[in-house]
Amino acid sequence: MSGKIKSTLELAMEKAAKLPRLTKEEIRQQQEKEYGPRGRAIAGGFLSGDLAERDLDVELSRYQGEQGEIVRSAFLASMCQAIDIEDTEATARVFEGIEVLVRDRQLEEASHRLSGILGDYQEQRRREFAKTEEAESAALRELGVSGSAIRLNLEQSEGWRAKRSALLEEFRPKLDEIKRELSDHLRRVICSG
Amino acid sequence: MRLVGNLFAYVWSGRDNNCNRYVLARVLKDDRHVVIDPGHVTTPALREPGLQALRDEMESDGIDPDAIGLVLLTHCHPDHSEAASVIREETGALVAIHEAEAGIYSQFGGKVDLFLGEGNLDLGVESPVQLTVFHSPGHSPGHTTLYWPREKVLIAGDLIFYRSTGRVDLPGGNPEALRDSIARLSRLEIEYVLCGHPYGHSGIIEGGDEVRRNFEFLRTYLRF
Repeated sequence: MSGKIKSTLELAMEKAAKLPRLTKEEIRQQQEKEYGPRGRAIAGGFLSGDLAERDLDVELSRYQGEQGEIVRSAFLASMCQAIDIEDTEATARVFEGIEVLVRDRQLEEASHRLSGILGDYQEQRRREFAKTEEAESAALRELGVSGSAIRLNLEQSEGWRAKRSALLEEFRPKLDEIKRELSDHLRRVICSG
Repeated sequence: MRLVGNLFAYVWSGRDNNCNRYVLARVLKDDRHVVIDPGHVTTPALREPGLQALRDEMESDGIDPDAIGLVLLTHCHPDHSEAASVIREETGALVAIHEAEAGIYSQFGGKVDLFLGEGNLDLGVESPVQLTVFHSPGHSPGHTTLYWPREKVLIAGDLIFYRSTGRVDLPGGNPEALRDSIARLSRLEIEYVLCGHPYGHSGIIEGGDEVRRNFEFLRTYLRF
């Protein structure tokens, strides 16, 4: 009965010491949970224009070591996801963002291939849009509606929606392939750097 | 009620708020009609049937309410536009409204097939009804009025009423724009002003002299 009376802190520390230690994988997962969203938020800020290109490097450089790797990986993954076949401006901005971290031959090749696909898509979309517009304008005239006061809202047209959807389906596999390759390449670069 | 030519006016006679409805009957292919501002499906406070009343009134004039080919909306407020979605769904009619109204209209669940802007609008294939569309903001940003020069008819939406004007306190309302829009339309040769509501008056201002007196009143009141 001559034992020392332990303080609450000592008791808590003893309890904590008995808890199983986190594995490396668990620590990594916890860090992913904490730092992944930061990388995605930086990507979101850059893509929305809230974060300028000159500030991007500063934001990403705040994180070093394993945390930095997580932030940069999440950033690059978000950027790859943001590649949009219908939005060439957004896609150009994706590459501007990626180039802040990675500039190599593979990226240049991916950018070149993507430009080709986007160009093909835009051209086909333009042709299909014009054809739909012509057909629907003719139908409108046939109904008896014409004049300079009227303009078709093709975005609402069932016919155009179906054609656009079919076109996207046609191009989606090519786009997904490039996204996947680019994503894998960027992950390798970040993990090896 | 036939007003002039194949233009029919259906003045709202309920106790709750709803708009006057106008129909250009059998002007489109296959004798399809053009409805201008079909109003509420059901009025919001007293639950009076708006669309059904319009259908009944059309039928009593021998106009098939299932044969609507086009709905023209002067603006997006539900007391003018709500029934357009139902008509579109049930009859396959196209819906037209100014682009500046389309955003809010779609928030009410409306779908826009055609954008309506300043210019000429021909309705019909042989000897079409030739309308002029005016962008006339003030009550709302993309408010339009329709003018039929041959019959000197102005379908005024909520821009002009008998001895009054449309309100400007709703989102997008603009008193200066309203004054300018009215001033511009006052220069037209008009025999009928067809107002959007029967506010203390049927909303059908008839006769060149009466129309001029109404514009004079508004001119004094608005100082244009």
